[in-house]
Amino acid sequence: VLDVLFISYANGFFVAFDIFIIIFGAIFFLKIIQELEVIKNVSYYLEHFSRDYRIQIIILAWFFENFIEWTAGFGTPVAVVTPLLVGLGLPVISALVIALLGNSASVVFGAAGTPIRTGFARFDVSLALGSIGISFSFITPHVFNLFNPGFAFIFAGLVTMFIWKSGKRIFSSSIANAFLRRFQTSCSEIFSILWDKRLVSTLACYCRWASSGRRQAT
Amino acid sequence: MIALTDMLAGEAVIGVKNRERQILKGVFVPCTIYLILVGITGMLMAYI
Repeated sequence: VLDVLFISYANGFFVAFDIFIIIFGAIFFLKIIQELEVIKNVSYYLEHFSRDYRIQIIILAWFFENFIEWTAGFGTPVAVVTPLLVGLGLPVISALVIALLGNSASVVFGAAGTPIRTGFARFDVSLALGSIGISFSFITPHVFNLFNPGFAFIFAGLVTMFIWKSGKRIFSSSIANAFLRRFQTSCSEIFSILWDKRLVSTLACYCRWASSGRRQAT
Repeated sequence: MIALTDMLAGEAVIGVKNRERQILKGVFVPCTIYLILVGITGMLMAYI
């Protein structure tokens, strides 16, 4: 009985540590965003992407929220996106409802794949694929998680926004080219932010903040 | 969609209290539609 108890405690510790790592990453991400004052610049980049507030809402409540759900989960997407939606001018209740609606389908695949890893922990994916004639011995639940359908949700959001914006002319090449150019410009700006020197200084600030907190605690 | 912890987290962030009824009213209909669509899809995938 003691062995079972000990093993259960050890198992619980490692599961809790896994969740702790994910939440730590989310808080670290939030600290970096606060230090870089990215939240203040979100509206600028959204307007650069589109001046239509409906598209801005889709970007925030679908893309950004699914991204946060994918990387962090555990309620952080709603807590992060709702103030941004309120900042766009939505009423508080509508902003909260829209944020909750956006945090729907991707939850199954969210939190760095925790539900999939937990649900498929005892499921031999390679054996199941072998039963239908596909034999890839390298496919494990962790590899399966790499093909996280969060990508599919992001793609679905892109298509939704694209259809919303261009209506019946979705197959027009000029609109497609304009969309791709704008998407490319936005991506390059985001990467320029990420590779800015301020990111390094932010990491240094965070390390100093963490070490000072530890010193105060001791 | 209907997650009380997420609702409370969002309410706490934007400083709203005791408005869960309105939030649930806003979320309920889309959630029902989503459940029906996903249920039908799942039934089709399982039995056809």
